[in-house]
Amino acid sequence: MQAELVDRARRGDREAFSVLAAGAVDRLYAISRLILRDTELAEDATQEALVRAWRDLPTLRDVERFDAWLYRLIVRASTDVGRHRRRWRAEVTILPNEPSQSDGTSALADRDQLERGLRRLTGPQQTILVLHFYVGLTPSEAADALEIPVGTAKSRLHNAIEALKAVMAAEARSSVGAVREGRMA
Amino acid sequence: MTANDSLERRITDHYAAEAPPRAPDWVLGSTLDAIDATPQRRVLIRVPRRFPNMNNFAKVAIAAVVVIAVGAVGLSVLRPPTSSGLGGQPGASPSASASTPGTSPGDSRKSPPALTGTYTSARYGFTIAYPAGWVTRPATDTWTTGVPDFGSTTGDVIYDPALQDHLWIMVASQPLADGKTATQWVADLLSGLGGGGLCDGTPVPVTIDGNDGRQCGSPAAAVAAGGRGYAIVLYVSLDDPSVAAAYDQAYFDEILATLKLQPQNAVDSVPSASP
Repeated sequence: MQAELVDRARRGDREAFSVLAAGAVDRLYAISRLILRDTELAEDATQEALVRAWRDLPTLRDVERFDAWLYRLIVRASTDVGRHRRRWRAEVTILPNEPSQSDGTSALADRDQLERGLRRLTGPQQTILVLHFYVGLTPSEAADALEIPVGTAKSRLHNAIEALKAVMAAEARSSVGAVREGRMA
Repeated sequence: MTANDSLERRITDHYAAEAPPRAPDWVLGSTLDAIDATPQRRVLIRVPRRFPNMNNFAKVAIAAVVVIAVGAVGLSVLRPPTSSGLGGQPGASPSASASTPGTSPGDSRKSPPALTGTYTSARYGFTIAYPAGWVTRPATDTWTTGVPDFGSTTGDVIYDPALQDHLWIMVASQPLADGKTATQWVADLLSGLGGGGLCDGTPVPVTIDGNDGRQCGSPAAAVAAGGRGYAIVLYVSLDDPSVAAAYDQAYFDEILATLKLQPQNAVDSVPSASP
């Protein structure tokens, strides 16, 4: 069914493309939102990816690879939009270092800690984590979406997890140090 | 469960909780409005322009089929209408058709313009000669991932103003990542080009401005010098076979021969013109 729609859209059928876009927009938006961590930028990137999909669809040789191709487009659009606006990195640097004081539960504190750790990763590291752990792509599929060799995707995924562990461990150590020095409430 | 398993489970759960379930409705609406005004690329057929694994007999056979097909089309167009029954007027002779301009492969081949223009990249550190009459469009963003295409803002694009995204040259460069050798960078770049359908065939060695690079038959090339990697692509749409025939590997080689790498002049972050 989807392959038939892709084939029709590839030959200029706007109605067919509308159906495909309606079926993909939520998924693409979620991916971009997780990568960029910014609602407005994710909206822009989602639109950009879908317009590029329409424009370049005739170049897609294998209609069965439409979904994988869309992942590539949303990653590319998110990267472009994030870089263009110069807000992605800025948002990372202005985040507070202190753990949230208002959670009150260890589960929320854990989530806060993970969120802060993720935000300190580089854009490419965040992107491959989203593709692997949210979209469920294998390193090989993620490599395709990122337009990089499989070996690079594997090492980037490994490095992202290690970097996240290191950031979280460093934060845990500084929290303990702060408690010992009486700086925490 | 290991510490890694635990962390990976936490990441998965975190993304599941954080992902927005729906995009705002207007995102789809404005996208569909935008595509109403957006033409699709006109790519009719996409096949490798070169056939590296094909034997000579097959090449000759395909060439013969093409010649026969062109001749048949020419005959059908040029022959005056005839009645299908007895007593009809004789059609044009094959020899008359064959002598008509534009029907032989040799005549249909267009000559690409001479490389009389010179482009100097303020961002990526190179100069290159380009076809007369083409238009240059410098990159406005720094290239870091993927391979820039015609619509990207991260590649220096030089294009035929009439054919636009059907005929263009793209050159971009970037610093080699820490620890990555020139050979690795070139191999990775061409691998990426292959994934995007821009690198047909097995890459072969090529010398660019005295540096060892590799190129594939799409045509596209990659080379590294002075700690920077350079990507060079000549994109020729296959819509028009005569254009595709003219802008061939030999022409790409001519362009590559004019490429001067100046990695010392590259800047990886050019200030925006706007405040």
